[in-house]
Amino acid sequence: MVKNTIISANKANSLFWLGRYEERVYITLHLMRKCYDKMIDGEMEEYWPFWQELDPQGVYQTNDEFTLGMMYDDGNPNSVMSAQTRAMDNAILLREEIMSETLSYLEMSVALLKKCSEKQETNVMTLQPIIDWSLAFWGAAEQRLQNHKALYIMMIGRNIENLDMLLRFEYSYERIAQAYDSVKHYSRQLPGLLDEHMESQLDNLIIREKFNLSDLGYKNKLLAFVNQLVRV
Amino acid sequence: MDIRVTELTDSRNSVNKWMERYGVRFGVYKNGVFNEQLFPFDPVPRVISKDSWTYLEQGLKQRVRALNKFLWDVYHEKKIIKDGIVPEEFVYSSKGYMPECERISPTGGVYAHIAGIDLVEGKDGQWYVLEDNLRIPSGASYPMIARQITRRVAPSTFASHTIAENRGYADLLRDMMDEMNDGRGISVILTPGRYNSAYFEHSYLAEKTGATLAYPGDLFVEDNKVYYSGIYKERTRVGCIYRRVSDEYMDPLVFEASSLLGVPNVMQAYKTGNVALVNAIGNGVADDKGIYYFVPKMVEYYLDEKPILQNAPTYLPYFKEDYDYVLANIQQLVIKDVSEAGGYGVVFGKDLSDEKLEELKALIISQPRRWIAQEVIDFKDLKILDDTDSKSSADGFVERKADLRAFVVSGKETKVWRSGLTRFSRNPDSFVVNSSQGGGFKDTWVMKV
Repeated sequence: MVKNTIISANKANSLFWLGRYEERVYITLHLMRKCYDKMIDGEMEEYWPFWQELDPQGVYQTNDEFTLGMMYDDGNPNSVMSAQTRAMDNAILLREEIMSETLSYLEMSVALLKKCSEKQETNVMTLQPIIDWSLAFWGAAEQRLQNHKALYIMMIGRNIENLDMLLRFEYSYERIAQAYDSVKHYSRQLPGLLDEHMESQLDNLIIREKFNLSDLGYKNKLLAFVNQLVRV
Repeated sequence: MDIRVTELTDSRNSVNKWMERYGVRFGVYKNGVFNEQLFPFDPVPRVISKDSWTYLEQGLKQRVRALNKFLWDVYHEKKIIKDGIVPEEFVYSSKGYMPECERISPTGGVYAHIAGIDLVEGKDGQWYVLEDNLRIPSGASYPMIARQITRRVAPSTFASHTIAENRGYADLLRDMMDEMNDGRGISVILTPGRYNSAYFEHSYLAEKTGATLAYPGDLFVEDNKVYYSGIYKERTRVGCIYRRVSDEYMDPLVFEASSLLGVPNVMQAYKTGNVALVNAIGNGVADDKGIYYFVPKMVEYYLDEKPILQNAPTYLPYFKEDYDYVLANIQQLVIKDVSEAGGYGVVFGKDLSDEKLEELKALIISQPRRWIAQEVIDFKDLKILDDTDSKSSADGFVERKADLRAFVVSGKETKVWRSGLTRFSRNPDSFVVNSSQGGGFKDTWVMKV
């Protein structure tokens, strides 16, 4: 059978958003674990910054409400359930690209989330397998995707999401510059995927001398440009 | 035959976990809402002996060869009509007959590349064909993946029985698509999309055959050639489309103008021989429930052979003698609407009230061509593990009606896949086994010795 190396616009879109949502699952759970640890015996001010970033609309009032909502509320776009479901929605369109074996890690994650949600499980650590499966998913994708362009589009999605979260949580310049570098690294293999104007704006903004995330205007500009960087 | 399946039945939970892991689902629309559900799997396989299989294989090949010849004839010389074997009303009034396909000659003269033939085994061991599915028969992916899983959870069972391998279905498909493609370009599986009831199968077969899964909008036609378009407007030629889109939606410029699922001008590309369509358009005329009656006659007419496989005893109210018989014996018969599929439009006379029987008779009288009637075959029940809470049986098993969909793949040669989809009714009182009607499925073991 003649091998197809072309990726359609629909598939590129699904690959990109699969990368983004799956990374969002991973990062949200990572932050939830940190927050959960502080909530065990800490004071409100210790975990309040996490709450503010993870639940910017301030939907939840109590620790349990926050934990359950952030894990299972599909109506909350910031929840693990929402991100995992959206990742699955995209992945299901890509079975023949990413292979059933790779897809199965997401199937298991969705199934576990549903089971924990039914039980209203509040211990974030019960979702640890989702972190493990997410890493397994990426490992399997890297190993099994025969079309490298497909892998690069997913990796660009993954790194854009990472960049977005790092900016929101005001990580260090080094971490942010590194994530941006990763986006550029993968995009070199796919000329035309990045919007040139957005790229040049970001090139001018992500430099040590200008880096200041406590300047809200600067931070919002970066976030806007990052989220419009990829044309899929 | 001494078959031991304790390891399989004991591993039922593991099998279900693996099924969940691989997302083995099918979609159902209920009240306009799409829902996906796991396809209930029963671990006790249907077992077919080597001798029975040899008989079935020969009969299936014969039947599909005749059906392919019928399709060619209907869209070309029409000898079978001229010779009075099949009345022309049955051809031209069939919903599946597509005048747009007249004189189109598909690659290699093959129309039904993938045929799903539904059979049942009577209590006397006799097999009967219930239905030929020549348009877009589905279901092969389920036994493929079930076998992969059951081999993992019950390896000793497979080590201790001599069961024919069934995971080569993708190779059969791939070889056939390559033959039809003839080096013109890539092969694609065209799916209507995520919300089609058989989407799992479309994507799974694409993965296993190495074909590209194409969605509406991914393909276009230029200069009567079909192309797959890429994100940067690059293109690659398509030589074969295994389409899982119904005939009437395949080309909005020829059929249903509002269709967003097809490819504008694909019929022109097909007509000029620049792309193979698997299955061909217009096959519905041969798997029409009315035409089914004539298939044994086709075998004799085209192949000059005695039909190996039998139809279920069938009556066509179109013929006076059958009309009288059906109206007089409607209570003992199963009545099928020829325009329906998927287990819909099938009614058992014994289940109807007097009032409903009279209504049905009135419909038959007003439109005799629309109906066929069949004797209710007392087909063999298969053992399934009781998954209900009632646990009505002492040994944990219950018996249910089941059929077998055999898959016949035709390229340069006609080959039968040594397996099939065994579907069973989960309702003890029902003969309807379709997944859309709540049925489950089993693995089908064809024994090597």
